[in-house]
Amino acid sequence: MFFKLENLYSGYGHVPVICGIDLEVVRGEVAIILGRNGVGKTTLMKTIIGLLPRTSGEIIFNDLPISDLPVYSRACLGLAYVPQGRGIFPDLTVEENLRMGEGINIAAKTRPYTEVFTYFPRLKERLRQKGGTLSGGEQQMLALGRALIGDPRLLLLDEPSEGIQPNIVGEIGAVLAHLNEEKNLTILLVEQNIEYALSISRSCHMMNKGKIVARVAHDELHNVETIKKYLAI
Amino acid sequence: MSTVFSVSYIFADSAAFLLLSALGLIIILGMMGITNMAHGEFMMLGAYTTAIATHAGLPFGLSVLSSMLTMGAFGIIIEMLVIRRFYGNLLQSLVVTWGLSLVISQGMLIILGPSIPSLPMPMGGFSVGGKVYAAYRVFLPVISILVVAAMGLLLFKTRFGMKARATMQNPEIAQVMGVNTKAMYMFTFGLGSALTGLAGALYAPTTVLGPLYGANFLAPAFVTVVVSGGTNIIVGALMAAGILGLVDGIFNYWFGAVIGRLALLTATMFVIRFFPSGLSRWLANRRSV
Repeated sequence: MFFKLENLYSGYGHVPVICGIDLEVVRGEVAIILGRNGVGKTTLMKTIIGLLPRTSGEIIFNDLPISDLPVYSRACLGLAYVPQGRGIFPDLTVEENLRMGEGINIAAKTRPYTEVFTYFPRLKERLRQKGGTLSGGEQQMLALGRALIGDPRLLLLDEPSEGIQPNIVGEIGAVLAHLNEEKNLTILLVEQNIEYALSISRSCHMMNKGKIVARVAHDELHNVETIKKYLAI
Repeated sequence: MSTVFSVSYIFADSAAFLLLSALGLIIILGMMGITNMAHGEFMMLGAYTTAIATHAGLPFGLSVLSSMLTMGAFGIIIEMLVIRRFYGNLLQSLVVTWGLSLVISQGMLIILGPSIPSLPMPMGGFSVGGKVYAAYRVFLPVISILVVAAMGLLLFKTRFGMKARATMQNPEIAQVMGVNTKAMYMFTFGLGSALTGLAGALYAPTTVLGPLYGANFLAPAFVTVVVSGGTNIIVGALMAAGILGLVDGIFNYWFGAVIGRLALLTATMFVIRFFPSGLSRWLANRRSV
């Protein structure tokens, strides 16, 4: 079993946000969870990485139940999380931010700096600059680059398209597609931007009110009626 | 010539005093947002350890080292037992560390009485222009520079330092990058305590040793922390100690110790008025413009 959520519940205090999610991600897959604002996408991601404790249910990663492990242990096992808002260390240089990624997946044999600089040459030009001085798009590249330095087994992305220029959104989408096809990187991504989701995956899981309500194939996603039905727009 | 030396001597002595007495406090505050009200008592314990070890026959240098290690271990224990329950809670952490200071000072009063045998000043004296100066007072500034340099190397040139700074800026994301922040806090508190113990130990030969030994250092230490601000620990501490030491040095030489201390506090008020978040924040803002 590579990655699986079993009847997962979580939330803030007594307010349940994730209400029984079952989901399996196969190795080498790009799994996308599509949902509007406020359906619990970020809460789900935080629960998977461990920043939020689960209320009940189980998270399986590489045949191992991980829901009682602290965040840093999950990272060491190879889960890389790119949060919404990027989470760049503002007073660390770009180079230091990237080096922080080496703490992810301690079993990794290589740290792919060359590849990251090929994908995002701008990071190489700004190595000595403080992370906080980068533009939003550059910070997104840095956040993704940092996660990739970890050579992760599973990449968790929380709305990578949010708040950045369309051309950079495209650039990042192309890198993700390349990583999946060439390097067989497994990706779990939550989004509300349908166009973006369509550009990198053949199917999507629809999320509403803390639950996965359907799995929809690529061609169906072009059908506005289907989307309206599942996303309750 | 002898005036220049005299003023430099007072300046270096005062700056070193401010720097050493504040360093542990600044690290604990800057890294984990805990204002350690028991700072003075940690210094007292450092001084006591050194005095007891020296009287037991250990050379002074080794005693200082041993009290640094002892206080580092003590800090780690205190972090595990008390401090880790109060992160992110400013008021509670103030009260609990204040309580800790009372327990330590009163405990020492009960166990060892109102004073313990003091230490002779090591190293003797030398004279410049007919005045005699204590060699140890020249040695302390040198040590303080070495300690700050070592801290700078640790924080900015090592992997541990990078992780520590990352934890300080965003603990959640540091965890996501595989950093065990709990252990990091424990270790940093131990480091701050070790530096505090070191400062207490180094100044042990300069004054009477009693349970309230730390009170001499508390006000200058807090003044230095406030002036430095928490943005860049090393640069902030150096600037604050340098500026305040200079003010103290000049006024102390021409107008005496009391006026010197008054000038130091006045300078602090000016800094707080015009750079309310401290010199290091002001410097950081200027750089990023």
